[in-house]
Amino acid sequence: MPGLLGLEDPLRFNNPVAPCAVVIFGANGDLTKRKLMPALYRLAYERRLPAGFAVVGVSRTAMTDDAFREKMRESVARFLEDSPFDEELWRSFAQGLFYQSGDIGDSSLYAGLSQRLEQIARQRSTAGNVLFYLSTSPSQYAPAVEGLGAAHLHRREGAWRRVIIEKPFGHDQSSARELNDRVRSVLDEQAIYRIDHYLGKETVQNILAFRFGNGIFEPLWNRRYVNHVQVTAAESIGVEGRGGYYQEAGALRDMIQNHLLQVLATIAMEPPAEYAAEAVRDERAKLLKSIQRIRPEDVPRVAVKGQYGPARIGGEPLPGFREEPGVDPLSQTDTYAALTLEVDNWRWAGVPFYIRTGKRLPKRVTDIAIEFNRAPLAVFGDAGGGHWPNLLVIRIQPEEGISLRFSSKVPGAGMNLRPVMMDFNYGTSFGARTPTAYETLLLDALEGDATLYTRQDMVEASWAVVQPVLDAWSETKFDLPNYAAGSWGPASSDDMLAARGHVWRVP
Amino acid sequence: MARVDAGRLLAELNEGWRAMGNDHTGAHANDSTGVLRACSMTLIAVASAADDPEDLSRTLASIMHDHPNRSIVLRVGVGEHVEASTAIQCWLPFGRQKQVCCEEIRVSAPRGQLDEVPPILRGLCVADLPVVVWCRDAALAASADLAPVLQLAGKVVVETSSAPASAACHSLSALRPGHPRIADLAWTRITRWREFIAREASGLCATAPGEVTYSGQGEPMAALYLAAWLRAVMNVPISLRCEDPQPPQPGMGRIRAVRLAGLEMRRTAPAVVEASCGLSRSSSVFPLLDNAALLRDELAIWGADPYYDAALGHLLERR
Ligand SMILES: NC(=O)c1ccc[n+]([C@@H]2O[C@H](COP(=O)([O-])OP(=O)(O)OC[C@H]3O[C@@H](n4cnc5c(N)ncnc54)[C@H](OP(=O)(O)O)[C@@H]3O)[C@@H](O)[C@H]2O)c1
Repeated sequence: MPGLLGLEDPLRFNNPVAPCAVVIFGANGDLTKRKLMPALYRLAYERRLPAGFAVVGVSRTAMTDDAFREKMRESVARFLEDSPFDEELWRSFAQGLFYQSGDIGDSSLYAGLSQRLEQIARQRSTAGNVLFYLSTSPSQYAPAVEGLGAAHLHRREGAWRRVIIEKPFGHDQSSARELNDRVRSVLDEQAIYRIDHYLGKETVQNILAFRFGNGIFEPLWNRRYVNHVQVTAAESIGVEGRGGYYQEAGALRDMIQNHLLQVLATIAMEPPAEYAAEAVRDERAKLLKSIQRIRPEDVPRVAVKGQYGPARIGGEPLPGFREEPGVDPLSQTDTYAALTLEVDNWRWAGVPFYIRTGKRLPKRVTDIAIEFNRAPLAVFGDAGGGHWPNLLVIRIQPEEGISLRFSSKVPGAGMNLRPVMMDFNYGTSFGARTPTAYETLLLDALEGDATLYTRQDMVEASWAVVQPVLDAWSETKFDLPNYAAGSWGPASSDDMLAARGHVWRVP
Repeated sequence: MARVDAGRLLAELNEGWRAMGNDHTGAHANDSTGVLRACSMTLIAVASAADDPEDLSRTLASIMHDHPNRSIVLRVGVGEHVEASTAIQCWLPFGRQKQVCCEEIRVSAPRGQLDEVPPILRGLCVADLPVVVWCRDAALAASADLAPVLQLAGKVVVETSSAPASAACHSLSALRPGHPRIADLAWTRITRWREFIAREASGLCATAPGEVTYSGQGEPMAALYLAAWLRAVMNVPISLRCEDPQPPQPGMGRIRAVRLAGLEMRRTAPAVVEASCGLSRSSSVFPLLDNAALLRDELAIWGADPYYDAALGHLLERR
């Protein structure tokens, strides 16, 4: 009879990853090169991958295994973040890399892949477990899953098969539903891992630790104490040669529908009963479903669309969005979007959540600011801290940390108060390197942990939030561009907050 | 000889920071260059005169990356008076522009003047953050002289790997009542063994007695811990047997093999352990761990460690 404690020691053992193969569709692409392969290599470096492990790259371009290995070696050496490249480790890692050329729309690809996987299972002892990673253009997601289904690659007795689907999951509410129906006609929900790499970021996960691992914040985390919340995701760069792609997406689809709504859900969700995939995802989904639906007539009041125009910064001319290569000179695409959202539940009723994102803003920063109500009585009059209500800022990038603004007496005679910041910087307490979002997410999928992946109901709920805005914007002709590169966005965005007596922070 | 004063040492450190022009915890926290003053605990490393101070310094420097701390190296049985000095250690994390810096204070004291040290250490510990004492020599840790130093710590880490088992157990039982959080790097060393056994033996229904074998003279603490843990988690009798009285080759460790209900796991090379059960075979690579790696693992655990407590309980009960 076993003792009271089991053999597994969760304090010290790494979660076991079963022997397996990862098949990357779109292995000739940018994401594989920049993120996926460096993340897998780094997991090997950290000894998190099982002895029986292999990667099969799939794309149309013909390539030998060796050519693929060489291409990946160059990419990993170039794009590995914050860690050195070890030639010796690479040699052993590269022995597990294989390449299969073929077109996702062509059934012969799957027959070839099936044979290849059998061969690899024998050669590398991967036990038939396979994680398929769809890193191709979004139009190929459903055909790839259907191809796997038709070739019976989606299931195997005594082994697991999982599929990671890259973003975006649909380009609007109905296409997201349609994609889901097609994917679900082949796969069970438990086998589907919809990626939102923001959820894999260490600092986004830390929001949960901050909220639910401490006793002092949660009592304040509600409409009684919180005045409003601002979520900012600003980029200083423009579309960097991806104008064609970006023109079809826009800021609202590219950032808010997925990443920033997931961040908002993490900030505002109820505490889960346990830290387990379904419990956490249930709470996130519940929150997303409680975001008040925007009525078409309210769109001009609660949503702001922006597009950057040309500017000179530091003596250098910067093109406006419409002058970027591949972009329609009359494009109506949003390179800036801001929303006012409200959450209809007991905790948050009446508290505005402002979200903004944009390109060519003054700096690259992602943070969440929670502004608390002012002290109920201005004991110190005008010299008091009333102008500077308490502000809690959770910085996601570039320098992860948490800051709290409070008022303090200015030294000297009289009772003059001034705002001061109390800063916590992650670097001051933890080692320098945190895993990249793709390392975290790949490892979770290999372990079968879907906590940080989105579920269909979450995807649908977040499309439901932005769809009325997308619809209204598609029917309106905007006078664009409406903000200069290097500014904090269009004036109408400031007006949106001013209407409720608020102002955007300068992050 | 000037009296050693905690306030003066801290002022010296502050002066050091100022000289580097870098108290970056304030307005410049968002800069991506410069220096970052990092600290998540006070680590008091207690060393005897025989310990190599350079080796100790290297170990401390290497754990700073994962557990930035104010380290206080206390050398016992050194010099004629209590003496102290300060230093700031910095490193540049790979791919970053900002240096991360931590404080190191070195205190030495002759054995007879150890009672002068705790008041100094009390003044030197970082406020409100955990304090850990790391003392490789378990017998020294268990000595009455050092008790006031250990009282400062929320966790005490010792190392019994090279001590005779009876002396090690004696020290551990002496330490245990006063310190709810004792850790032993000899236990940390067998994590890979335990992890491998857990993988291989999951689903195994062991009812027959098992065995842990070792090489070299005298029962090694590693083997004793492993047997005690197996008893605690599998609830079967586990015996200990010397397979070869010759000391092991370097890097092999003293545990040779573990047998449980038809499953045998055997160390075959310095970094390799192989499992066999009937016809099936598998192997695992055990990385060679130095003191820094072990300490890094141990410092990541703050709360109760029921697995170690249970194993230690079984081990001490039997002796
Ligand atoms: N890049 C990023 O940083 C990033 C970030 C977040 C999300 N994503 C998402 O990740 C996905 C992949 O992004 P990406 O930037 O890597 O795209 P990409 O550079 O366009 O790469 C996709 C690759 O798929 C292959 N491919 C295209 N059609 C195929 C077909 N019919 N059959 C087989 N292979 C085909 C292509 O290689 P061949 O020409 O050799 O076939 C191409 O290199 C996209 O959905 C994107 O939205 C990307």
